[in-house]
Amino acid sequence: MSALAHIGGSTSGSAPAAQPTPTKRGKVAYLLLLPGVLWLIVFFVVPLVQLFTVSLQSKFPGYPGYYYRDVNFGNYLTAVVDYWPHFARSLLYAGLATLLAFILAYPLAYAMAFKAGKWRGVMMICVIAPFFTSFILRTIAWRQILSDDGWIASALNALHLLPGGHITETWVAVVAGLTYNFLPFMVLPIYASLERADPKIIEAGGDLYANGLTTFRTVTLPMSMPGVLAGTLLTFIPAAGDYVNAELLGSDISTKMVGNGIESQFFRVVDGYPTAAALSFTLMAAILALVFLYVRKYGTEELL
Amino acid sequence: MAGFREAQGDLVLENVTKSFTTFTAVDDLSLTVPRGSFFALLGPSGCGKTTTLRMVAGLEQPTSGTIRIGNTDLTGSRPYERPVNTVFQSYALFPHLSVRDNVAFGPKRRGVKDALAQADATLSLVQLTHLAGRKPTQLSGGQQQRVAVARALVNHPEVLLLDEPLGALDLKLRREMQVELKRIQTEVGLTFVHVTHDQEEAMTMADTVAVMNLGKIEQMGAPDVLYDLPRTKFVANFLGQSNLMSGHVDDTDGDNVVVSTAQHKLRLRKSRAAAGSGDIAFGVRPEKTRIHNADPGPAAAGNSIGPGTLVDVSFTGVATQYLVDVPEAGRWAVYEQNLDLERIDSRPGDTVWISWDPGHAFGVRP
Amino acid sequence: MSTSQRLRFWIANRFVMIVAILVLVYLFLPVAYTFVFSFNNYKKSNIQWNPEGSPTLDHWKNPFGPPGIKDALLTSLGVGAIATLVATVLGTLLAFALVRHDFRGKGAGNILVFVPMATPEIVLGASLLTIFVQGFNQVGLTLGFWTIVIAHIMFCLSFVVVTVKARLQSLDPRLEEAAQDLYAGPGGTFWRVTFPLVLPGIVSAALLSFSLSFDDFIITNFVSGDATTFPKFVYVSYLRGIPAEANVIGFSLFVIAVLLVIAGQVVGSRRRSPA
Repeated sequence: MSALAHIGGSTSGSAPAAQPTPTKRGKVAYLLLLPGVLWLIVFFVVPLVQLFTVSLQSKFPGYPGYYYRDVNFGNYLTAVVDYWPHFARSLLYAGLATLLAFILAYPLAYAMAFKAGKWRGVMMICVIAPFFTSFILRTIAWRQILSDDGWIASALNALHLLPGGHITETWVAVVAGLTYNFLPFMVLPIYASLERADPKIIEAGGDLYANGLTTFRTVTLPMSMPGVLAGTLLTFIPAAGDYVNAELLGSDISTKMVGNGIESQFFRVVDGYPTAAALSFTLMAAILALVFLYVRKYGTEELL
Repeated sequence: MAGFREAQGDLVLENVTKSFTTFTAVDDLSLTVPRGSFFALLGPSGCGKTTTLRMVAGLEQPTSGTIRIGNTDLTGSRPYERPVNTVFQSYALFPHLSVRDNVAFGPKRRGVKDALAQADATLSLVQLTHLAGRKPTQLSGGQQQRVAVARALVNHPEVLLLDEPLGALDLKLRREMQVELKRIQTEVGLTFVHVTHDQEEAMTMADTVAVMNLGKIEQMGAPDVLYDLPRTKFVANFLGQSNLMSGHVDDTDGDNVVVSTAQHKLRLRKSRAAAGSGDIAFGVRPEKTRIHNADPGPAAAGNSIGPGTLVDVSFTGVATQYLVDVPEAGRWAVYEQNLDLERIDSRPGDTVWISWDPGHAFGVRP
Repeated sequence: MSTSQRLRFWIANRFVMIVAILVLVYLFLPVAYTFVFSFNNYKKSNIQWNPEGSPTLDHWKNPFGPPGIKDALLTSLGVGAIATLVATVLGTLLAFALVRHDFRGKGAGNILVFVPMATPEIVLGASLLTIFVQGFNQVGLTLGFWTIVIAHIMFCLSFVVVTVKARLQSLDPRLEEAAQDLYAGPGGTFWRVTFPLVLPGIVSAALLSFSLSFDDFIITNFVSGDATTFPKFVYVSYLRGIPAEANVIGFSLFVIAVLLVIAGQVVGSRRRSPA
C-alpha cells in the first residue's frame, strides 16, 4: 500500500533537519549584557531594596522628618488600615478602565489589521500621535470636555440622566481619564498580534461556523490572545499606579487612588516616607500577585 | 579574503557523521560527486539530505569524517572560506538590497573590482537584467528563484548547492525552472548538488541520483538505472511505485532464481535479484504489468499471478490504472497504456490475472 | 433583497470600521480641545472658555512668553534626546545578548528586563527618589536634570529591549547563513546583513523611548527636584491656571511629530520602491 502514497510525489516542503538559530556562547554575551544589566541593577533593583528598608523604618520621636533603621511592619499596617479604600479604588478603577479600553481597542485594532488596507499607516499614526500632545494637557482637556457647562454634562443634565449633576469630581471622570490615557497601550499589542495572524484562518473559521460571533470567539480572539494579554497588563499596571487622573479629574477625597496616597505621603506629609514606601510595596505586591494569577490563567511564554 | 580555500575537483565526503543531541542526522556517509556533474540527493524530509548539504556549505560541521574538494580538505573551515555557494530554500534574498546588490554581494565581499559588472552579466544569464533595480519583495516567486541562482553563480563556485530550490513554485513554473537550471548547469559546467524530496525533479535533472533514508544512502546511480533496478524496498517505493511481495529464493532455473511466495512460484533474473538465496521481496513496476480476464496459462508461468479481484478501475487519459486484490499478495497496481484497440472491459468485482515480462521483475532485500 | 436588508448588510459590513473611526475620533477629541483653547481669550484661567473675549492669536505670536515654559521645553527635549540615545544603545546590546547568545542566568536577565515594565511608575519614582536623596547625594548627585535622565534611561531600557528583541526574533536565520555563504565573515555578516535588517526595530525603539520620556510626568515629578520638564510645567501651573501658550506648544509638538512620522513613512516607501 505504501507504494500508492507516493503517486505524484509529496508536495510538502521539507524543513531543515537542524534548527539553525545562531546562538553563541562565550564572554561576548556578558560584555553585551554588562552596561544594561548594571544600569537596571543600580537604578531599579537597588532603589527597590532601599525603598523596602525605608518601608520598615521608624520615626525618630521628637525629631520630625528623622527616621531610624528598624524592622517596623507597623508601616504596612498603617498603609492597609488607613488606605484600603484607596487600594480598592485603584484596583477597581484600573480594572474598569482596562475592560473599557479593551472594548474600545479591539474593534480599532481589528479594523487596522484586516479592514484598513492602504489606510493602515494613517490609522497607526492616528493612534500614536495624541501621545505627543502632553498627557497632562490631554487630561486637562478631558476636564474641560466633561465640565458641568460642557456639552456632555449639559446634555445628560437636560435629560436628567446625571444624578449628581456633575461628571468631573466623580469616579466616572477618573475611569474615563484612565481609559483614555492608556488606550494606545491596549491597541498596539492587539494590533501587532492580529497583524501576524493569517486572515485566511479567520475566513476558514467563518466557513466552519458561519456565525460571526462564534468565529470571533473560537478563532480570532484566541489568535490575538498574546496581544490582549500584553495590552491588558500595559493598561492595568500604569492605571493602578496613576494619580494624575484622580488629581485632575476626581474629587478631593472620595475618588483618590493609592498613587495619590503615596504622592501626598512623600511630598506633603512630614514623617510620611516610611508609610509612602510601605504603600508602594503593598501596591507592587498586589499588582504582581494579580498579574501572576492572570498570566497563569491566560498566559503564554511569549510575554517574556 | 583571508582563509579562503581555492580548490578544484570532485566533491568527496568520507565517513561523514552528524549527530545532534537527540538523533543522528547523517550516519557514516561516503560519497563522491564527480566534477561538473549534476547530482541529486533525494529523500523524504528528515532523511539527512539537508544536513549533508549544510555540512558541504560549512553551515554545520560534521561530528566525524572529512569533506574534500579535489585534494583540499574543507572540514572545519567556515562557510565564507569555501568555494561553495548555496541556493537556499525559499531563497533567503536580502530584503534590504536591490536585486543587483544581492547578486553583487559575494563578489564585493571577495574584493572583486568589477563586482557590479559581474552581477549584471550573471543577471543576463538568468534573463533578469530588466529587474536589477528592484527589491526582492517586488519579484514573483520564479524571479526570486532566478536571483538566488544568480547570486550563487556569480561567484563561480566549484560546487553549487541547491536546497529544495523549486519547492515554493507552482507546478508549471517548476517544470520551466527544471529545464532552465539544467540549461545553466550545462552552460557553466559547474558541479551542482541538488537536494529534493521530489523524485520526478531529481530524475529529470540529475546525472546521478542518491536516494537517502535515515541518514544513509540507500542507493545511488543514474536515474534510469535506479528506476529500473532498485536495490532496496525503500528505493523501490520512494522512486516511483512498485508492487512488492515477500518471498523466499529456494531454487534456480538457468539464469533465473525461483522465488516462492504464499501462492506462487515466480522467476527472477539472477542479475536482478538482491540475494541468491533466503528471503527476498519480489517486485515489479505497475506500468510493466498487464491485466487479463482469463488465466494467461502455462506460457506465463512464473511471470504472472492470479486470480485476483479487480477493486478499482480509473481512466487517466494516457493510461488506465487498475487495482487488484490478489490473495496472499496484497493489492497490486497495474497501469496499462491504452494501446489495444479492443480494450478489456473490466469492472470492479471481476476476476483477473496479472502478468509481466520476466526481464522487468526485480528482487530487493526484504 | 429589500432596502432595509440591504441597509443592514451595508452597516454590518462596515460596522467594525465605523466603530474604529469613532474610537479614533475619541482619541483626537482632547487634542482638538487643546487646539481650540490655544485661541481662548481668557482673563485668569484657561480652563474655561471665555465667551466675552473674541478668539485671539496672541498666544501663537509668542509661545515662549510665560516665564519658565521655554526652559521646561528645552529640558524635556534634552532629557528625551540623551535618555533615548543611551537607552537605545544599552537596550539593543541587551536584546542581542538575550536573543543571540546562550549564557547562564538568561532567564534572570529576561525577568530583570520585564519587571520594570510591570512596576507602576509611582513605585519606580518613589524608589529612585529614595536612593537619590539617601545615597547618591553623598557622591554629589543632586536632584535635577541628570537624575531625570538616569530615571528615564531606566524605564525606557525595557521597552527598547522588548522592541528590538521582537525584531531580532523575527529575523530569518537563513539570511545570515546566506551572507556567510557569500564570503562575508562575522563582521561583514553583522554590518551588511544583520544590522541593516534590525535597524527598523532599533529606530522604532528609539521613537518609542523618546515619546515615553517626553511625555513622562509621574517619575519625573519624583526625581526632578527644582528642574522642570514640559509636562511638569503644565501640571504645576494647573493650579494657577495654565497659560494658553502651553496649548500652543503641545499642539505644535503634535503636528511636528505627525509630520515627521509621515515624512519617515514616505521616505521609507520611496526606498522600497524601484529605483
